[in-house]
Amino acid sequence: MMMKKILIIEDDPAVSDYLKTFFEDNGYNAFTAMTAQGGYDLAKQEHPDLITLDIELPDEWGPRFYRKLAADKSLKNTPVIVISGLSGNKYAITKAVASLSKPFDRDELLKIVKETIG
Amino acid sequence: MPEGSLCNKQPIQTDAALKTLLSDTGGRQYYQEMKSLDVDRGLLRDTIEKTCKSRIRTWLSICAHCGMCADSCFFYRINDRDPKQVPAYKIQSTLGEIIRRKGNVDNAFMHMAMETAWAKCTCCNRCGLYCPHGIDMGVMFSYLRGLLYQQGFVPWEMKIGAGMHRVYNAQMDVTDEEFIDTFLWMAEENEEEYPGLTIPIDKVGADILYTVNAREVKHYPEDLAQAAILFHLAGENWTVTSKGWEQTSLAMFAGDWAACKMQVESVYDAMERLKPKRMVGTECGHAHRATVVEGPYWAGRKDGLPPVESIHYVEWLAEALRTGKLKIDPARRIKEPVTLQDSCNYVRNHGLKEITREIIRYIVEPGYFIDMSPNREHNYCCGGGGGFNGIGLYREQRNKALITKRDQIIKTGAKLVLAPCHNCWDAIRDLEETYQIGIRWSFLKPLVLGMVEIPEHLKPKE
Amino acid sequence: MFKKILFATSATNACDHAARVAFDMARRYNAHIDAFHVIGVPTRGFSQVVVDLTTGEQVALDDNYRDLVKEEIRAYYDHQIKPSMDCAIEVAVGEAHREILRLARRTQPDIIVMGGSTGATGAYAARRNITGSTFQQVAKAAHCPVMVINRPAGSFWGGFSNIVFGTDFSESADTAFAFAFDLAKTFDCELLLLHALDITGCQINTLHSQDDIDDQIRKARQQMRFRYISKMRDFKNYEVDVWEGIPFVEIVKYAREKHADLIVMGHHTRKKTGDGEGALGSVAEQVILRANCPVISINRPIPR
Repeated sequence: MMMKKILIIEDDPAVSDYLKTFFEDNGYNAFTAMTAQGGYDLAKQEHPDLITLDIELPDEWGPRFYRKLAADKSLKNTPVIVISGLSGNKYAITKAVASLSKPFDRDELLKIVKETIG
Repeated sequence: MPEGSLCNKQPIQTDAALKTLLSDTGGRQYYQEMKSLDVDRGLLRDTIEKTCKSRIRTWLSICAHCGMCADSCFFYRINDRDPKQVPAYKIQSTLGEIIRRKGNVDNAFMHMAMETAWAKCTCCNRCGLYCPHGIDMGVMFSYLRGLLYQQGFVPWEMKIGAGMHRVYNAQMDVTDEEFIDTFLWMAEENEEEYPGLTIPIDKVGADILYTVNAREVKHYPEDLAQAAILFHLAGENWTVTSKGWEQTSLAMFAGDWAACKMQVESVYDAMERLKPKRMVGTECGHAHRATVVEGPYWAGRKDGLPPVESIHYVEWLAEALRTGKLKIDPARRIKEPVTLQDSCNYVRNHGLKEITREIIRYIVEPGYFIDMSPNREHNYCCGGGGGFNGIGLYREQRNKALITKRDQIIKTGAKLVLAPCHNCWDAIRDLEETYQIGIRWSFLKPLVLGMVEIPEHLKPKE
Repeated sequence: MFKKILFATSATNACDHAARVAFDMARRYNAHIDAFHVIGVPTRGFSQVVVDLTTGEQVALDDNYRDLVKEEIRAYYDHQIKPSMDCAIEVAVGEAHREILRLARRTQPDIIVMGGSTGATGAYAARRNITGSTFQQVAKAAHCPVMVINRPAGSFWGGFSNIVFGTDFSESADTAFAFAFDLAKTFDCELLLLHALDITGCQINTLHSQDDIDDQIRKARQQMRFRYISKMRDFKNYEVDVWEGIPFVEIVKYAREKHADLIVMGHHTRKKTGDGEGALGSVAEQVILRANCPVISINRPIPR
């Protein structure tokens, strides 16, 4: 079976590296983007099974990235997990699979990822 | 130190002096200086000789110390019937003593007299009603305040208030330009909803000259808007003056006689200049007392009347409702238990006790009005009259003084209190803030505006 | 279109979401921004005592206190005020809505941005128990568009791209349309026009037949074409919809489905608010409370 692909969109390198290592340790193929545009290009190219998304990105707000994603037929059903330090983030993308606040519990994250894509 | 740099016998004359005094937060330095302020005994003696006429001297000498006034005073009642709160004692131990000693009193005495004059009496004049000799302690306390002001023993806010009148001809730092601009702003804000709404400025020969309280201009311009809209809906030929528009007088509370005269003359000048048929003042009690009741004497008018007939807002409103100039939509009348605060200054002291009740008949559904007990000329002061509301030094005493009114209101069971007086309105607001009894309070204007029928020709076109 | 922003704030977390949008706009559009805070209501008659709305404490007001509050506000928004930003901090004393309107009259901003709640605490808040009476009164009287960000969700946003214009075909809706259209053209946005057909007025037993409803929808679409589409000439980036239901619910749902980043509506209130404390009655006010994005309400034609 092919390894499931997770796209991490996160501008903080520390968080991004941490997530990448964490997902890889748990048997996923993870790759990262620092910006919304970079994330979108990578999603188009790789068609990930799941995306983790920060709300505050240098070039764009997360919800706007999500809207672009939702407008693309081939990407619109990609599950998204919001990981952000901003308050009230669970309202930001109502269709997200889950919204986690930083600092997040990695076991909880893993549980959500497993439930979502196996 | 005979005179302090802030606390002294000189009235505030300039904006700079006003700002300096204001910047002494809470009057800290001011009250410190007051502790070593000299009493000018010669001046005090001369002033009494010149100004203390036979009425006050007679009152002081015929007082039989019978104590009938004790229970009339809400301070006495809420302060565990402390004998030192009996009106006769309060005035005899201050003004009476100054006169008996021919002004030979010291700093400590003046401090005591100041506290008595501003924190133990609101000049509500209720005791005068119960004195078998008709001795009016309220009037005498006003006189005592004048003596204290002259000597510099006056609460910080009162000195500022009187200074405002001297510098701005208004109780707050509102200029004539700001007054007009604010009124025009209110017309702007409401002209869509009320087409044709304008503010006639300096119109000569109008039926009504409207005068206000500077606080409305400064913080509650809605009040100006509501007044303008109601005149507009009633089809009145009215105007405001660009000079002499301030009806109130903190100078009266402060005992600054010269400023009282100056202030009221500015309003009378406007009357002489614009020759209106009548003057209507806003919903304020002491403003009416200052401009209509006492003002003519300050200004030395022989007939004891202002230059033109001057009425309180409630008189105009009752008339407008009575004659049908304003029509109330019966469906929108007040349909909840409601009570009324009788303002001492135009009810007990100027007899307008039935006129407010007439208004109530028009605007309250029958069966919902509950009078306080006692009421009309027997009603108690709101607890913050005579400047008491504004004096930080006596905040604690003032909050205690609100208890009388609080309990009167609670007894009615009403949750809405009509308060057609700025001072009462403030005191009732403060009592809700302090004691949280769950009431609302309102001037008449906003309530009437919410229930008045708009004549077809004045409605906005849809 | 946005060269001068008046951001009215309680400088507490109640306004954090509005702050995010206001400062983001200032940066994005190189606008001047006035962060404006009303310290509190003058209490005790003419005294110098003010109840600070934020703390509920009584304070003796003087220049020191004003400066202190200004410094606090600057510190509070320090991470959002960029060095290049043209930002001024202003404070005043009085009733919040009145002072906001007073400043707006003086400075003539292109837009007022505010949070839905003033964040008042203590006795004062208890007394004014109706949320957001400040924004109601500002929205009613302001001569410029008023943007309210009431919910956190409303603040996750960056620039305009997708605008929902909700209309009830009233005069103030026409005014709001003119503004929304201008905005869509200026910032190259998609404009989504929605009329929510109100079917809440009918009782169950007199419920309209679906034929009736469809007829009304058809009529509403004609209105849309007549009132708005005809005025858009060569502007093509739009959609028109008519949904039936409870109007504010439909507008909120529609905006969510379309991932709108802005809703523009007429404030449309001729109703009396008594002594300034009306219930949150109008559709616009309900949308403001519930939307997932900032809401701009317009009550008066905008002077050009």
